[in-house]
Amino acid sequence: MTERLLNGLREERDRLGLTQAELAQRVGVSRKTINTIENLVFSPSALLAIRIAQVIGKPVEALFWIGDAG
Amino acid sequence: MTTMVADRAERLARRRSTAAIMMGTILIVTQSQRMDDGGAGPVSWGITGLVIALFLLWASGLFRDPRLRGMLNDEGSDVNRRRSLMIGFWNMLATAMVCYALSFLKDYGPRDAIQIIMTVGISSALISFGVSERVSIHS
Repeated sequence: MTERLLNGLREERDRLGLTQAELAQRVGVSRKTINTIENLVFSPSALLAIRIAQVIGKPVEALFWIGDAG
Repeated sequence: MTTMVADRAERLARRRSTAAIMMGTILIVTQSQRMDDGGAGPVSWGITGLVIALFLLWASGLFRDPRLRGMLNDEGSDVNRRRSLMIGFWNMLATAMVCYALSFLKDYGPRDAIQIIMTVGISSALISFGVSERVSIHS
């Protein structure tokens, strides 16, 4: 079984009424990085995951979790 | 102010991805044409190297505002850059193996082989970086 890092970033961003660009701006990354994280194209580093969780206002483990890739 | 920086970073990332694909394509087309003329000379390689170096300087945002540079080279771009470098490296290895096998069938010198290996490696890295960036922007 292959595991991967899943996230609820899109749902949390929608809940806060933020666009990808607004969230990217607050985190200090480009919009495409937020886009690729939401679409599970790439897994963020621990540093970036914590920064995003701080901006969203949730613990990092509530925003990112390990799941089955299949 | 931050929005302006973010917008500029987005525009620049788009231009950079297009430029990378164009440069990779131009490199492979021009170098393959020169193969018929006995390969590219040192002047030609010098100009090619200079153009690529200037592109990399511009693409890295070295002379730009640090915040813009940070957004331009954030984690997403870094992953794409590392992935395309790896693709370039493996393509170089594969091309070197093909060149070795072809040397039994066709008589050509090391200069031709180096030109083919470098052209495939550099252009595939540039094109894959441009494509990865475009996919990241539009996915």
